[in-house]
Amino acid sequence: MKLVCLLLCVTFLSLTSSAEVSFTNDVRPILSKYCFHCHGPDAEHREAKLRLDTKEGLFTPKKKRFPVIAGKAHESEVFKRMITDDEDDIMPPPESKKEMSKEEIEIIRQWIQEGAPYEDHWAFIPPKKHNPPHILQVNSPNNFIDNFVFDKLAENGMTPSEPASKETLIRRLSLDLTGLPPTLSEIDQFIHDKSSKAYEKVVDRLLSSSSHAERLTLDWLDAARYADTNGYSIDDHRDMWAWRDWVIHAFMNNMPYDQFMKEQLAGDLLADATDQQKVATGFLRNSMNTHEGGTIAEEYRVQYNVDKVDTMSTIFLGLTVKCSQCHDHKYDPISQKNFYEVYAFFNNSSEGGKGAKNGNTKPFIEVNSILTSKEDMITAYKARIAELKKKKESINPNNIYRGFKGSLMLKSITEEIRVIEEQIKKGKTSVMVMDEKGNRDTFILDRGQYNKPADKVKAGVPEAILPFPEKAPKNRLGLVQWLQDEKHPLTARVAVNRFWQLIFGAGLVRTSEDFGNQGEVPSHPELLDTLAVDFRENGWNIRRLLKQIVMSSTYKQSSKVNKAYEEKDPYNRLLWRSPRYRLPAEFVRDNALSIAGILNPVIGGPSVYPVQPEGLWAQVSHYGHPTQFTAQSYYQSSQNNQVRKSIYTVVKRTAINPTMATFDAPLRETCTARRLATNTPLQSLTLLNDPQFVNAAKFLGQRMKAHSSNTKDRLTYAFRLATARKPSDLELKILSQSYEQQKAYYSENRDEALKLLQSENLTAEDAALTMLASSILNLSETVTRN
Amino acid sequence: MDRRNFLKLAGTASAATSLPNSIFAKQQKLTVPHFKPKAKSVIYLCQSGGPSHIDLFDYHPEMKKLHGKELPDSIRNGQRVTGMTARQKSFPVCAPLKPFKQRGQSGTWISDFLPHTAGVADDICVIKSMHTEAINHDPGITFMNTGSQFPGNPSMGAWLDYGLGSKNKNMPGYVVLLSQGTGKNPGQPIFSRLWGSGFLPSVHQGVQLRSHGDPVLFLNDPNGISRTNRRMMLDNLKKLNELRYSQTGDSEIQTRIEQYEMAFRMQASAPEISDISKEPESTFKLYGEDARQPGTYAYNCLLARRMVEREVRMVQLFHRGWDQHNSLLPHLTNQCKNVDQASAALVTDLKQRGLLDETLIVWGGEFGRSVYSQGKLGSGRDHHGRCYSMWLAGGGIKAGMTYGQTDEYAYNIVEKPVSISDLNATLLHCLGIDHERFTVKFQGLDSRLTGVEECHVVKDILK
Repeated sequence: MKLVCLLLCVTFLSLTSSAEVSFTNDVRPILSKYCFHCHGPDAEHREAKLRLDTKEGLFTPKKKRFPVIAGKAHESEVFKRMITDDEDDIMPPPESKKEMSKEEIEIIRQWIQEGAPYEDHWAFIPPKKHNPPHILQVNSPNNFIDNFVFDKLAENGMTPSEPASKETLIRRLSLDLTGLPPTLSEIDQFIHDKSSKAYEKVVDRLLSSSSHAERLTLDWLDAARYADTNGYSIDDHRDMWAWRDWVIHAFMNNMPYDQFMKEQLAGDLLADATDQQKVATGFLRNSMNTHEGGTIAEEYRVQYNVDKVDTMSTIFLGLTVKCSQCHDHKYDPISQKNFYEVYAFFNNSSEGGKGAKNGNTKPFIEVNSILTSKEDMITAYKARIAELKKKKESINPNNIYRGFKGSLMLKSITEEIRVIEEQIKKGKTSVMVMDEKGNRDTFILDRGQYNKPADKVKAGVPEAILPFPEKAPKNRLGLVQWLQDEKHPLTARVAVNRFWQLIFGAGLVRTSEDFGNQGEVPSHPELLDTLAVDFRENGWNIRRLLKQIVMSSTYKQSSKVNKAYEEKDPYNRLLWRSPRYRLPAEFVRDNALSIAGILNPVIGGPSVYPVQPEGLWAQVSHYGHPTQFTAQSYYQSSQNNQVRKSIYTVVKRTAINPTMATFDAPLRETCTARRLATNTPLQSLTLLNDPQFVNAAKFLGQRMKAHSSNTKDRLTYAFRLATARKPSDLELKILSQSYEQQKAYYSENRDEALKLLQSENLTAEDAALTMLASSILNLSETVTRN
Repeated sequence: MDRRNFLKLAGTASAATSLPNSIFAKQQKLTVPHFKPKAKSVIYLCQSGGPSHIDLFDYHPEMKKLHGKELPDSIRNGQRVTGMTARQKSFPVCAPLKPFKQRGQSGTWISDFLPHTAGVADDICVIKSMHTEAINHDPGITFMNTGSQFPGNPSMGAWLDYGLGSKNKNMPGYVVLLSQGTGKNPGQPIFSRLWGSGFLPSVHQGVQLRSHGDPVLFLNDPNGISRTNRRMMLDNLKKLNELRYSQTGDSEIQTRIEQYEMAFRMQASAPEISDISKEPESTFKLYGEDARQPGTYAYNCLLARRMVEREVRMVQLFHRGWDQHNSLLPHLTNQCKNVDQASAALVTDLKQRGLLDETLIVWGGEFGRSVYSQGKLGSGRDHHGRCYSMWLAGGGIKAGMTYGQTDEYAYNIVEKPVSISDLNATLLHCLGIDHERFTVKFQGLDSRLTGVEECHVVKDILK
């Protein structure tokens, strides 16, 4: 046993003090990685008719040979094949280019020796509530979340971190729940509120704010691959902002998650569906589309449906099914037939393969937003037209601007204006929606090719996960019923896991898009299951779930790093501290605008065009083509609309906003369930030099100046706006010294100050304040949730 | 996470969710290159729009006699054509517009459209048997650059930067340069995804080096902030960040401090790359006068050379305008003028500098063009993916070679087909990477640049 421990420690730490291996945590992942590809669910490509992804397959003898015999590793074919010297027999075979490590082989050996206990894949067993384990009260648990988390910590010889300071807590809550920092008065109020309900009051205030709805919307826009352009090829504009408004409105009203899901997947099929229920199905129509010249329409119609299946599966099932478009899934019980059965649910729409030019592709409805009144929409559109007309006036048709003829530029802007004017005339915008026209036959497509239909299939689901409810209709409404069935093993788990991820930066299942055999196992399976069942039993109440999470003591821990714990658990999977992570791209920017006091808080409406470097769209697009396409050149918004929240920034899929892209925002071409976070020099350059951040620094400088005439007060004020805490004496000293340096520098170099501020009325003092403001906006702490 | 830390944590080939699947799982170590690489850097000259293999490289003397005659059904063989010519009643063969000659010692056939390229015939390897499934630009060029026709996958440059990183720590490892040809303006649109990082961390996406404004976005300090002052500000920022690190123990803060330092260095190194004022006259003689003009293909070729000299891992040019559906002769003439001299100059220049052996040059587009005319005879050519030509040079590739054979209509491959994945497998091989082992787990699959279909390194063209 000692040897085993030693071996195991080479690559990972065993979870508990006992070195017994777990089938779910340790064994199945190895089998999945090395064996399922040829001995898994894919029947067509299964070798030697042997499957190792089922209990039956593992333990039933074949030609008198046992894949696995409990307690007898050296008589088990699976193990023998892993250790043989015979090149013809060894598994996995050399041509697979997969080689097992000694540690992995040892795990298989140990598992078999320990009696080869088998467990079905955890995610396909319906979740059940678990009794919260008893824990010591010394850690002040606040709700059942803490029982599960602290119990696991104790099991691993750890204790939770101290609670974070009040300043940290209110900033953390504000950033997590609204994407914005707290105001100074909110901070002060919280600090001075000594009541036992002080924290809860903040939570309730934030959860009911519209900023909270906008914050939840951001993640949903990634999931739903929301964009303002069509995506493929010419990538001209589309109008889906009223769908985005629908999402914000739903979150504002805490729409139950089951209804949220139902309306987006099947709103059009509800009895007496309202316009807004149809708008909700825009979720499915956010797929990219194309009208490229040579397009074969059916090829792309198929592709749009595949994208719908992919999005639905990733977001609601937590399964990645795309590969079953061409063949049975290699790892999970989803056959190619299953794929096209699910596909069939989406195959009756009248949506064609060839997209429309400069706008929405049928079917769409003309409608007003649920959030933005007709009048507000017209005002917004008129403002946009005014911006475009102003741009138009600045262009001389006979000049060449960076290689573009002025006359062509004028034609292009005219087209942009025409498209908007049409909507003003109608008094309505438009949203692409789902419909159900007739009953198109669906076929399995050989190798996924649109022109190679094989067997005909009917709408259905992967029955291995859960049979389709008997009385449910065989349409998207029935699909929703299946997803929401109380026996469904995935839907509720996947949902709570994503909300957990939204708060903690990583899910309890880190691969939030993949709960299948190749995904990670949950760090706290019983907590996940209890949360999932609790969520479903309590009306799929999102706000209640989020409140449970942020009210926990787990959430309130300090984020300070304990080196000994970090050594043991580098990713903080056990949650021995609160996570620290850089803010998502959108909040990096919103935060800066908010700290500078210039964020425009208007909610909803058409997308806006903040400052971005010139030429980024034109240089990759069809700009200048005699057929005038929209969204080929970027026309900046005027003042107020330059400083809206980032979720309203126009998303052009083929030329994504550079500030957002640098901070890991996805291209929105396909569904994204989680972002990766990087830390790069381009991010530094952006925070230092992007005119949006330079502008924010100037405003913050002036804000400091207006706040007080005392330098230390000014610096403390800005520091607090950015971090919610007061600077330490040492920090204040560095800031003050830096300020004096800058002031001296700009006093000696007045022309530099003039260049920086572009105003005769401002002085070296203003320049120094701007530089200090910029420093504060560049602090690691300012862009970090901690 | 910065690149180094990312690699440290995620390993390379088996990424973020590797084994064993215990929740503490640490990641496997970086294992690329798998063997000794021939090439250290790549210069990928992407000719967007689909250059005509018929008119440039794929010569069949007998085609002259077929000019104006109907393309036989036996050759077309039910192939799907784009929506643009699908309804055309007649498919008359259009022979090459200009004469071909055999060039150099190797006798490689190259058209008079490309006199300079003809001059380096003995240094390049022309593949005449490339093929792609795509028939339109978007899927075609996405396939070429990411190994899949549909969006969501990392570009080749991102893969390389992810796997190999870059020696030059003051520049991004993967740099992209764009130019617009004078053949067809505007050319077909191109997209961020072509140099995107797909499911890899965004730090690996191609960074555009621009000819207008800041060479790298947001590189330059605003007016009124001198280098001295920026340094002063960064020093104080560093002190504050270090203090915060001591308060929290968060190693991401240390990484961020390093990123600010690298940003500061990049502010000097990126403009230095674009500063061609010290290039001797001979450079412009070699690359052509266009190379003086920022934003041209020739200028970008020159920058590419300057970057591989500084050990940037991959430089990719995108030159638009090869989509000759009409005005074939004048437009193709212009396109060739844009790129011919500078492409050849790059080969010559790197050779003279002793860098060609370790630099892999790739020249080609997303597909070729049809032998039959689109519209009137000789007016234009439609897309053609069943066969087309590309050329490679340097970095482990045999010089003075032609590979693959098409039929007399340059319509179907008769010998040695090379798929995009075959090509990518070969390029990776030159860089010391086994494409089958260079995988990242994404959505439960071991994803790779060369996709799931079987493909092979084209060994015959390797040195």
